[in-house]
Amino acid sequence: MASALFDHARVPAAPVAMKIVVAGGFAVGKTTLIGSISEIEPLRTEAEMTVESLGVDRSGQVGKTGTTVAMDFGRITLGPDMVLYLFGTPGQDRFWFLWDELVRGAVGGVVLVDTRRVAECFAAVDYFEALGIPFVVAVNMFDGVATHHPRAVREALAVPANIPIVLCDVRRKTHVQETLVLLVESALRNAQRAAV
Amino acid sequence: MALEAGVRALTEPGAYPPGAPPESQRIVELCRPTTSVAEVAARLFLPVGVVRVLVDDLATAGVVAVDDPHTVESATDVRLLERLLDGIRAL
Repeated sequence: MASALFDHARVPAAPVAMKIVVAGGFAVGKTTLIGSISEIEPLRTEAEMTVESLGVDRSGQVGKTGTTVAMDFGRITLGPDMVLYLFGTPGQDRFWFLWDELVRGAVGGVVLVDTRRVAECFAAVDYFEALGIPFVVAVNMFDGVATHHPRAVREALAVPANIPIVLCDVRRKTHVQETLVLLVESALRNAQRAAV
Repeated sequence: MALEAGVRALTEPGAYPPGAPPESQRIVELCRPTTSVAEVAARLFLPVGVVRVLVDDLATAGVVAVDDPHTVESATDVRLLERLLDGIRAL
């Protein structure tokens, strides 16, 4: 029988896709973090989003506007049956609405902090806390130097004690790897608690 | 269709009908093996929304399969999280 279709038995089953979101302020190093551990160069794609206008437009109506938002992502194949995607949220706060889609089904989030601009990650911390999504705070060590102690960052962000805070040179794969390990351990503890 | 949903071609290479939109042909050829919606968009320089529509049409035509990642459940699945943890540690 001639058929253009593959014998489905020969098509390998799809690997399980897992997802981790990398959040933080503009130019804080999210793309670098993704690139340090991704098996592909970080890819940039665009998604169109319909946004409820926060204000009133010139026609006097509260309406919806379409906008295009760029986001980065990377891929890590973890054996034949699992693949991990890392999605970087857009840096600008005004694109927070995209996070709902990015975060849906995510194992958790990495909130990347630039200690010179700590306030920029408040929104991300609040977001993950409000939704009860596991997250870790990674303090980016620019130039490999820790400028702030994690405890000071914890106090500045008012992050609860159960949220890990880690110093991370986002250019170093081992640092990024350790950050992801901390996040997944945290997510695993949550899941185990929920399963009891 | 989730950004991380996997798209995989069900046809033999080159079998997708000539005359079909070039974007659709490129999606089919790109999706061997499974490729995520987000990656298709990035590699073909198409907005995610356009890719979703084209992939949906291709799936309806039986040319590709879309594997829903079911990440909403898997994100809290203890066994999957353990596998994820082992996988990241082994990198």
